[in-house]
Amino acid sequence: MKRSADDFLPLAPAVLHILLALAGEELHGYGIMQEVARQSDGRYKLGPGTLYDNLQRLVKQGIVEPAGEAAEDSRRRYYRLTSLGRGVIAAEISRLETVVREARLHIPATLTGRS
Amino acid sequence: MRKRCYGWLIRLHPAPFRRQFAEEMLAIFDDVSSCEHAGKDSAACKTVYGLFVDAAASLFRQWVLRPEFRHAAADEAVPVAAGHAPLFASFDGYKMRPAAVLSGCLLSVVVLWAVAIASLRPEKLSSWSIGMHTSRKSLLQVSRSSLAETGPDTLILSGPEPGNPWRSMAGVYFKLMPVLGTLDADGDFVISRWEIVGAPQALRSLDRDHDGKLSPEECGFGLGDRSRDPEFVSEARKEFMRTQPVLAALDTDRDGEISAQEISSSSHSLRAVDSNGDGALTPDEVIPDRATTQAAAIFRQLDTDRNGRISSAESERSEAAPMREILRNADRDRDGITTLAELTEELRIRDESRRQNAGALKAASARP
Repeated sequence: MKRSADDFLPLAPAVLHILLALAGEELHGYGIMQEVARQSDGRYKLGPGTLYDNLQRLVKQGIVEPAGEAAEDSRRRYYRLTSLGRGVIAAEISRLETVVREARLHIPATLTGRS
Repeated sequence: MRKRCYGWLIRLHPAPFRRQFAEEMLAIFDDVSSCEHAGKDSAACKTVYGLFVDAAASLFRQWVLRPEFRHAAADEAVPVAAGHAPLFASFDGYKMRPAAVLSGCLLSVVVLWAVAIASLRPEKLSSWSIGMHTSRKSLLQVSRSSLAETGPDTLILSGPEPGNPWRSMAGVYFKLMPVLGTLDADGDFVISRWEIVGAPQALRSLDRDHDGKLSPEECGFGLGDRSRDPEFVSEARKEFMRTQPVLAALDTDRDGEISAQEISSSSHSLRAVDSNGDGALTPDEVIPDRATTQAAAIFRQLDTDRNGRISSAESERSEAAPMREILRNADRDRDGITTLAELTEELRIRDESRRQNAGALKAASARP
């Protein structure tokens, strides 16, 4: 049975970061690690073991797919989001926006850091 | 060196994971390593040693928490026919888990050892053995009414064989004669070849007073309180040893006792009793017949000079009057002397004649 994007929500932090890194362009493993570190200002660092464990599952779920070998190094392989993957990241962002909106409605502005 | 160690860690991962990502992980190791050499902070890990920690955690994760990917890899090996139906040959791609193979090996070794130990000590496990080691009459009885209707053509017999009166007598005789009861270790009333070989050891077990020899009493002789006459008792003890075929064979020097030397050579002596030469002593060979016993009793009474012969003078005595006709018939060579063998033969002929007459009378009375 074909699964919808909502079936994968909520995403684990590592998965969210990987999908966010791949949302912009195709990346190989080391590129994903660099992009995740950049997006989180170096606060969140993925090790290769964690990265490829998640990629293994994401490929199996059809959210990410291999996109061929890197021209500069045949050992590296690029990965990209599938249409399902794009739907998943979009659904997750929408879910997070709802969470943030609800938080702003119910929590005083001082606690959320807004003036 | 560090890269080689990291490569070993990667190689320890499950094969599907290793095939898919090992090269990429090694490439990342090169990137992090070059960053470290250049003094730059790696985007992924601050040091190469962080990669080792990550690889060790990944190793645990892939083997323990991700079994579905290992099995999925085996499923990928399934060939699919043109009609998209899996082929039976697809099972060739299955590989047993190493843990299952190891468990099977251990279990096989344990079972093998258990069977080997059990076979070495069967007496400890007799109650667990399948089948019976001894025959029992109760096991042979069949009581089913259907058999009577169908008329079974198989006869199941238990107990002594018909037509072999020796076996029925042997049951009593072997009990009265401790020597035979001891020699017949398996209780089948036959002193087999191997029981003859073990005769010296068996006979030594009868030596209750531990004087190294067997007296007539230790061989089964007993008069109770019937006689206190020492001379009579002495003669009776010797007679007992002479009239029992097995004891007579063992007591080679005819002194009325089985000495230590005679016990040691008993295996050889007993072969003299094996009249049919089959290597075993059967009841008909070890039980004295009636004629032999009677002849010995007559000799004990009439052979006053104990020379083993009844002379004409001895047969003319008043005590010999009832036996005179028998002694005359027994003296076949008409030399006026009756030997023990002649008397035994005569008594045996008379017994046989008496038995035939009794059989004829019984048959005549049974006829309508």
